[in-house]
Amino acid sequence: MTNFSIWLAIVGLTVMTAMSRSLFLLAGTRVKIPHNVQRALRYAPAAALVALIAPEILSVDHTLSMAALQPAQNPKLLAAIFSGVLFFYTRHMLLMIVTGMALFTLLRGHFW
Amino acid sequence: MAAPSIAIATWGLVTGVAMAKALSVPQALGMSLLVFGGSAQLSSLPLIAANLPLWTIFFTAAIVNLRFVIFSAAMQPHFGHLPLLRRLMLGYMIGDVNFVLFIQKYPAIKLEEQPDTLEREAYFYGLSCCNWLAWQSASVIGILLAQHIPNAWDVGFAGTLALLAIAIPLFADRAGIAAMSSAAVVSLMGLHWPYRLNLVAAVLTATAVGLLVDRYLSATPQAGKSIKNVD
Repeated sequence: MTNFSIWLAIVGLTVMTAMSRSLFLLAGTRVKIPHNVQRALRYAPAAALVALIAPEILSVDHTLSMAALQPAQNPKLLAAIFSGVLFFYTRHMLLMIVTGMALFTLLRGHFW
Repeated sequence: MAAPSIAIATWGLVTGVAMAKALSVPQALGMSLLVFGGSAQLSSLPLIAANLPLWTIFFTAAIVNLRFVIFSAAMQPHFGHLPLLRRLMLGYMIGDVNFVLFIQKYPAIKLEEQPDTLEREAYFYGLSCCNWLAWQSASVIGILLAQHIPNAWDVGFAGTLALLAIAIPLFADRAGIAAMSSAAVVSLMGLHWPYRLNLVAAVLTATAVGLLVDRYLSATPQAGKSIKNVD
């Protein structure tokens, strides 16, 4: 991407992020979100995050293979599972990232 | 706010390093100080690196930012009556952690028992300033340190882990787990679709699966229990 289009992306992202955070505040007190829509919206943000994460963890260099789906043959997957479980029980993000990175680095040295 | 600040700073640092690996230093600083939205920033980086059209970047950001739309709806009963500029400022400062802490202290349903708007606004800005400072200072440090961190460390994986940590609390129930599993499967199946359309398909599928499983689970109550009073 050119320098110009990256800045265009940054400005666009700024406007979009600011708008989404104040959308219903900007609407004042008039608009109310229907209950059904609120329920449906519940799943979208987590789904977007998972859809971004899955290829990073479950493929090797963006190529699908059976090996990439097996924790014993994919250091990223094993590290993500371990640190994900760790985070679930401790809710400690720094501990999770440090452990995950350390495990990944160790395993990668071992596998490759 | 001390423990949350450490988490915010960690994510800020990782985001800073990830940005500096994909962008120039001025671009990365500009993105951090202007956009001020970690998941939108992180999710835009692989798309920028892949040289995809701008609309794919904006579309992905819009989806990732949907949770902020929900947050703004929850803030509306508190601040919806304020002047436009104050509402815009409040909205711009909404982040994951300060929002959750604010709503825990001041649930919107008990509005009439709560202190006046000014006091709630001050409390929100107190949280938000900690959030902003922890995030921006760590991001700037990450951006400036990035060149001293070897590529071989694969810091991008730390960014992936940070996204995972944000995602995990969002699917705590069975419907959520089903929805997120389907999102992962669809995203992988569409790995080679153009413009990251696999993200769109994953979000649509997960929403449908989440609603269906939710409806199925609430339609099969334990035998002998009345559901008349539910909801």
